[in-house]
Amino acid sequence: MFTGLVIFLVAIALLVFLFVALYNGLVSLRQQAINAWAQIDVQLRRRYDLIPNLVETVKQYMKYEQETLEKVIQARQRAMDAQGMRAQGEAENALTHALGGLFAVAESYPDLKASQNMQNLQEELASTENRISAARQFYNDSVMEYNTKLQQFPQSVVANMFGFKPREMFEIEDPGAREPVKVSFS
Amino acid sequence: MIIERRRTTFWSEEARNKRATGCLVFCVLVLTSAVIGGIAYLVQPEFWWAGALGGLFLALILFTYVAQYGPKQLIQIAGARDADPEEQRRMIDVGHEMAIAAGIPVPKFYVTDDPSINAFSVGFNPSNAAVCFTTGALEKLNRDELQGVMAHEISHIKNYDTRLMTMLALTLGLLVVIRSVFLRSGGLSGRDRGRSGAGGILVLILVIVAPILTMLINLATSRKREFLADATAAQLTRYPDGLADALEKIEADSSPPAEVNAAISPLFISSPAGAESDSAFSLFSTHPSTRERIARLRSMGLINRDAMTDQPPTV
Repeated sequence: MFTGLVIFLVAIALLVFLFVALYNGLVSLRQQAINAWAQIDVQLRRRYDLIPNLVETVKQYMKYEQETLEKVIQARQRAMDAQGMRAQGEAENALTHALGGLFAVAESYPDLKASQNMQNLQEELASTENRISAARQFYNDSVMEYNTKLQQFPQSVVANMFGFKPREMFEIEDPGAREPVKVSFS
Repeated sequence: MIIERRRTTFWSEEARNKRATGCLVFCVLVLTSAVIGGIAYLVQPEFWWAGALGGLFLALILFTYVAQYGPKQLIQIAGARDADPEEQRRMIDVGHEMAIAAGIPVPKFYVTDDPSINAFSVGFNPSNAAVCFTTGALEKLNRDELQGVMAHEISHIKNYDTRLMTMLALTLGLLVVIRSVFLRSGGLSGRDRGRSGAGGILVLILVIVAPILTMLINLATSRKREFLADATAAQLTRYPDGLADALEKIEADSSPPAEVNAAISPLFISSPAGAESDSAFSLFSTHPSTRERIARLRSMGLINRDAMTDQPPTV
């Protein structure tokens, strides 16, 4: 009788322990995905901050390319204003393309190419593009891990009880945009 | 699906490395305790337990110290200096990119003056890790190649390979010390106390040391570790050819490497020549053949061109 009770209590304790472990595991995976999403924003902001600098530098050399510059500035504004994951993704793509256009035009300005300031900006921007795609990649990896765990047994039981929802992956419409733009003059 | 499978091996590798480190630490604690206890027994048989306890504490203090300062010390042994944010900007940028892709804190960056192409990483935790490149690597590798090598080093940090290797370096050092201590004390006591005491200790030490040595050799020569870091690097950069190109350059490079301390040679992305021939590490060929690694990366590249550019698999 007594041993039976002990076994019962131990089993209950183990179950509770398992339950807590599963719950905490899900919470930390969810938190990782949320942090990863925030990291994308950090990198996007880094790019927004770089663009005015770039435009100022380029302006001095490219007097007849107002249209290209204007496109970049507008794309930046649209990307900053965009709401929602999908809209923002598209606006960011447009910005990447506008920047690519700007660097393509810059090819034909030897003075600009040679300027130290421009070379610094170029590296900075290339790195920022890479950081953005790295952050998105890590976000997707985190979301995939989280979503997979949500559907696996026994996590799925805990997930249903506490209303863990699967998260949306970051998807890029334009397959070419997955590759960071080559901002190289050589 | 490819990515998903890789992901799980990725995580279990981290767990495996942590377990291996724990096991290693445990074995060394037992070993030091047994050795010092054994010596105490020879000197003063009734106080063997004091020796054993003392040995245990000594080893514990040593490990705590290594966990705290070991990585820094390794950087110093390598003669590295802080990377300059202006001069080594590309390296620092690439390091940031790869740390973000791996989801680990950005490590510290160091440079050594060495014309050969090489790199290594240290760190007990991803949060206090460091990556060090030779000046040769920074000069001769282009951005994609640098990124590949950086991704490989970041993978070592993320997989906790660096933790295991730091402990491994320490343990090998300890074994050398213990061996010399034993030889000396064995020689002294051999005549005084008769053969039985020394013989018993010898058997005891062989029983304990042999499995540890086997484990060390298995760990250090685990070619899987390098292949796995290469595979993770490919996953981080989505461009395995970058690392493959870098490895090709390393193989073709004829610059004489600077003198590298044997204690840190297993940490490098490609074994520094010369370090192979001396000290305890001559036992361990720590790196699989570069050619095989290149071949694997190239084949990965072929697959990736189809699989990786697709949308990530939705679950």
